[in-house]
Amino acid sequence: MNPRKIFAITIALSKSQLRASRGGRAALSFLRKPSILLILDIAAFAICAVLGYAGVTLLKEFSGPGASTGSLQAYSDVENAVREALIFIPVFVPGMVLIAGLLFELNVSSKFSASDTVNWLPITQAEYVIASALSVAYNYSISVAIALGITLAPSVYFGYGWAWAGVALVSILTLFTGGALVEILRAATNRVSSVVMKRARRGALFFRLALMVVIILIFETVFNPTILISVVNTLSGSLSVFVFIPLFWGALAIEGIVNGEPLRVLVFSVGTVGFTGALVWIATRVRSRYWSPAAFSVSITSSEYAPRSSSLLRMGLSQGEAAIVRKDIKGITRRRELLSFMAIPIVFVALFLVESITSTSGGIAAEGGFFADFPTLFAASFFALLISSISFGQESKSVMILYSLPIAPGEILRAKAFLALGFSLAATFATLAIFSVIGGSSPLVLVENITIAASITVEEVCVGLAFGSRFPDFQERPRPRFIDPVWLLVMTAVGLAVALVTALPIIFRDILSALPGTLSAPWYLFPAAWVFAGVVSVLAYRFAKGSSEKLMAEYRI
Amino acid sequence: MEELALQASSLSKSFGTLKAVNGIDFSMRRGEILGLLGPNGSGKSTTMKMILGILKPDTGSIVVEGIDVARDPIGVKRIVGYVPETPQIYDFLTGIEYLDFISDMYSIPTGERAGRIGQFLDGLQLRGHENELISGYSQGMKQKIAIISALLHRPKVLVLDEALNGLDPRSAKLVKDLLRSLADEGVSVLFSTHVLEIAEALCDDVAIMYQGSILANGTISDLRQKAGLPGSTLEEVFLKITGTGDLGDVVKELSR
Repeated sequence: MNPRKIFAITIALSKSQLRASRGGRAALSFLRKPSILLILDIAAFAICAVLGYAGVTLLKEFSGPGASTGSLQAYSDVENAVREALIFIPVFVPGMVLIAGLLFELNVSSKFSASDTVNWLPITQAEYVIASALSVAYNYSISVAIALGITLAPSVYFGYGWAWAGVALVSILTLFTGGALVEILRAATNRVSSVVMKRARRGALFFRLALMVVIILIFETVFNPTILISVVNTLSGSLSVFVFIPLFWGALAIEGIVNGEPLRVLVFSVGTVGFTGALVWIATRVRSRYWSPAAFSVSITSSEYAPRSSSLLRMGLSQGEAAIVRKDIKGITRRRELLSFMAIPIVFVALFLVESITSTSGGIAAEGGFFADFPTLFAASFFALLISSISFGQESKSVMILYSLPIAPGEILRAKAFLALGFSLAATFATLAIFSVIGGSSPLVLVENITIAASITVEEVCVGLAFGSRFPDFQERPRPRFIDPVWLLVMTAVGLAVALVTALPIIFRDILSALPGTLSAPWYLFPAAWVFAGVVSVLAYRFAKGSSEKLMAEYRI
Repeated sequence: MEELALQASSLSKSFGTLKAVNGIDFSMRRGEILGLLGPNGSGKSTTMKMILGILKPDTGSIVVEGIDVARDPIGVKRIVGYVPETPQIYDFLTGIEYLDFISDMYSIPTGERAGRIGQFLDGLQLRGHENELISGYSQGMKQKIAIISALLHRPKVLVLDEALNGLDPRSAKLVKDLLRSLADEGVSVLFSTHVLEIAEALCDDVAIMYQGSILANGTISDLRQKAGLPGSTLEEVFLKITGTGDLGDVVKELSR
């Protein structure tokens, strides 16, 4: 293993990620160098350290001589919070890296991920895996910088200075642990891709999406400390069970420092190093075994081609619109970079479900009300917005085909709207059904939720199309984004704002029902929300129509 | 008067400060194969995209089979078959799915398309690969799919940008013969290429583009006369007209 090669690949991968996510303006070229991440880390650490110091100064003033009993209690609570934060920082770091990896790393197309370099350069799989894990860890190191910065002054003040130093070391290590987990996940999803694709028939391609979601969900669940703690608490009242969970070994080492137990520190520190090493070994093995060095031929069917009239035509679509819908459905189920877009909202909704099931307080089933309605509102807004906003940009450079074909911009928009609406409504109603059953919604509440969720879905699809058609990003990059990132943020803010307004009847209803008495939301809030959603939808769709006409008037890519 | 399949007048297109096409005029007769020759960056692809309505000219007009591209770009696209220089085919589709998609776009009747697609698959030796994802195709196979998709709807005009790139000799010969046959049936073909032998063998007329302008056009023997090089090859004529013939110093430098 050659450290120089590992360093060179790490830098190359970091550059690849940085340049995938930032613009190409020469004046801001310093933002595109890996050193910017280190500068950001140092700045975040410094700012947070100052904030932590300010907090300590305030605490000193409130808990000084002559302080009230309440202030002294607060002092004690803060000390406990600092102690617990120090112990759990190393546990949360890998989970955080994993979520970031899920959001930003797994949708990187292999042709941009520099992973092909192992095909022709003298690099071993282990060197590549370590470099890739290091690069992932480095990309998301700012979270550790923030956590260490904010806890520095309080730790020193409460006499946990050594523990803080230990947390710094262990967190940097567990940052790398998170990177190794992302590598395993990357290899695991690749494995699913290649196995299913090689044996693929039509149904298997849908199966691949489900499998990917399951794999990501398993990883997210197994490495989600909140869920783990809930499970452990359910299984056993004793925290000694943590000794058997490697993810917690870093925390146990820190606890050893706090309690002054050197042997415990030594054992669990070595254990954490060993666990990370084992993960790297597994990632290397998985990648070595399943890495496919070249694109392989995949036969989707062996049956003879027999063209037939599309059933979509009976739903009012033109022949061209139906063709685009069918093409896009295939793209969603077959394109790796789109699979993540489909999987992420499903995973997030599923996590609500898992957390609810594993919650010691009974979760949604016990809380009901807004806790049961939130996942549906989340699915209706987030999923609809996401899927519709990428519908133009996901054409990538192949959009050239649409420019050269005899199809009007309005038809393209209708096809995109049809598919986004179909997927989003299906996702919304599936989520609604699951959480209504868990939350035990009454028939009236269910009807109200259906109408509001459907209204939100429609308006979010239209908002997503409006932004997606006006600011698409057709460039093929390591991390395809499909929509201009600045406008993505604006769109998210707009989308969530209109969703919030439309959801007000449900929010009021749930808040009022949780209060003592028999208060209920005024009935007219519901039709008002439908009208609001209708107006937003019409305006957004008209904007999208104008934008798609402008977009398709000339190829400007 | 001969019937014109295509007429471009005073065509210009700039990208920022770069003048990609500089006020060119040319026309193409029905059933003619017109070769557009020129070095990289001479404006051939930009011109072809303007014919399709993919790019809007800054000045000038284009009429294809009596249809003004600016007024009815979709009408023009219905009767034109286009192979871009680098086909960006949806590689998550299989070959047959892509051709079915294209057939839908051109509203080719379902009863007709299976037979027509089958003929092309057999002719270009893609039979047996039609159910494979295009992502696994070689460059030549992708090029064949792009060529088939340009021909499926029986276009009146073909606009082919380096269409023979990546094809094996048999397929290249087949496509050349097919183009000749289509031209004889009245289909007009605008064909850009770097390979001067192909232009010499295939084209009725050629137009030589350089830095956005048409330096010369006519039959190949016309061009020989204009260049004052009777009996010479098209390559010699091309290099003389474009003023890029003296490569001796460059070769010397590179071979050091």
